[in-house]
Amino acid sequence: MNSEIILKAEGIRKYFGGVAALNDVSFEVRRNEITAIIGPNGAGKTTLINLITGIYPPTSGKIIFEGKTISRLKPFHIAYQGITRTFQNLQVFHNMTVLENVMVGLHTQTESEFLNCLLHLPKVKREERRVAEEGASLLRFFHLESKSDWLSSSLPYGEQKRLEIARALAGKPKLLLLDEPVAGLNIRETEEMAELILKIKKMGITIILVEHDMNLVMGISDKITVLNYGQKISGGTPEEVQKDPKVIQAYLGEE
Amino acid sequence: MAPFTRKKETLFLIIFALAIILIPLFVKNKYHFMVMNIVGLNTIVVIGLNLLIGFTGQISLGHAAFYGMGAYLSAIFTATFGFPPWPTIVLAMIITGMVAYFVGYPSLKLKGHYLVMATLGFSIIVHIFMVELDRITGGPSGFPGIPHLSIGAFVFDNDFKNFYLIWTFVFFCILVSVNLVNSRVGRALKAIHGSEVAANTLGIDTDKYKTKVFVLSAVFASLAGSLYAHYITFISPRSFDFYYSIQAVTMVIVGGMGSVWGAFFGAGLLTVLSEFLHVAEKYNIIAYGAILTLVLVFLPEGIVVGFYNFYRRRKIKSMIEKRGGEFRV
Repeated sequence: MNSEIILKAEGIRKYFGGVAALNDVSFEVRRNEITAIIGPNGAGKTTLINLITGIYPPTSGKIIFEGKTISRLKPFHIAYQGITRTFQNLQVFHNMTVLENVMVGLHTQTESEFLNCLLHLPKVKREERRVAEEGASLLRFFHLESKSDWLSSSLPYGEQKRLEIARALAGKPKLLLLDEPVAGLNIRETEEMAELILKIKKMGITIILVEHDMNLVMGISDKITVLNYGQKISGGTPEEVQKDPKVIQAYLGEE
Repeated sequence: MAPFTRKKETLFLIIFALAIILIPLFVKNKYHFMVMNIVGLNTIVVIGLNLLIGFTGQISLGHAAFYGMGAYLSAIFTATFGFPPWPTIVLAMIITGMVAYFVGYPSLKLKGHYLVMATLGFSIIVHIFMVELDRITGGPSGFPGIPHLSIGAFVFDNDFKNFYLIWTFVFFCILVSVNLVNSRVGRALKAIHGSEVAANTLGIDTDKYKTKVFVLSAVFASLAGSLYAHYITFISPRSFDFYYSIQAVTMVIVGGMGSVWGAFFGAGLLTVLSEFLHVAEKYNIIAYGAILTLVLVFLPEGIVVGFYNFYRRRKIKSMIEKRGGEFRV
């Protein structure tokens, strides 16, 4: 069964100076599937995520999301298209509470601007109430509700990781990009995270997963794209990829 | 710092308003009123600057220029051209805001300390204009004869009347700032401070928000400048030089970054302190520096945030100890 393509990358190249971080990478992501991007260190996985979310534009090539080219859009425009992400090195807002972090995530779902906010008009009050409620219910989903008024910097690492996902989900994305969601987590936390990711998938959200933990990747992914030295060397279902000699060679070296 | 709840903020605002109304009943000294009025004007500047520095994490060393623009625009339009004062204050705010937009838009797009350099350069240029355009500004010897503000036949012509005028404006500046920081826009500003990249990927147009808050802070400074001009009725370039910008930034830091009330305490402490220290005569600067250093060493988050966190930690500690646990920092 193949569902519709939600995101398509065509011939993506990204050069930093003379170095090719990505060289002619093409791949597809199907709606409501978990697509993993794997590869050894320096393969270009995070660069690919940064290109999809508009942190920097590709040197050449095109990224198409729901039929629309997004490869020249700014990150905030891309968020409004329905793509949000987490970061490999946590980017939780440490100067804000747990609840506030999630409330920032609801930015695209609200519209009060400077003048309205300065005057605290009734429209703003209604919106504030809605945002606080939606934020609280998201925190319940992530089992963080008892810490909602903590400063986010005082959360343990694993909870900060969950908070970052909660914040990304608050924007009601169609596509969620997770950059190493279980890096630094212990075995139990990793299992919980796997369940959480599957739950998010069940909500109808498409997921791109960059991860080194092969158990997790093989366990929950529908499709896998393998990168090495900035090039796509393999792609397909977990079974297909595991058998691919090119993948084995990239990870284990040649005999 | 965890934000105060809406209820607490409202309570603080009520206490603050009552204090403004009641203080003149106890203070009779004309000089004390003058000091309090200067505190009020500084508070308005520092509130705006704190939105930029404390909340959004963008540093400006040029707010003396916006303060001065408010003062000189009000002075020139009312005293030289006979414009009515109240609409002129608004006009000055609009002009200053537009200038701030053209200074801020290109420099806020750049990362790091470019805004500091751009605003610093800008304030020096504005200062040169004040000194050199002596036909219009009166040059280094200043601009006298600015009319007092008035409502109908009631003229704000002494320190006592100006106290109510200035502090009413302070109250409303605090009110709108409290509104702003506890809103969608306020959260977006704090998010930019926390991580600009992350804020951007959540849908926040970081360039736009940084520019807007910069303009807003300049407009606050302009308002304070206009009130200053109409209150003292004489202005000179010396009040709006580079040192004033430094002083304003110091007030933000001492009061507490990321707290609207911090602006009030920072402005209050440093203004009163420099008045107090006249007693110390030539040791004035040394004492000022020593107190500043002590505050920053022992309360690096500023007075308000520092004391608030201290109080919060004590509360958590007693909570944990009641349950028989051990509290470690």
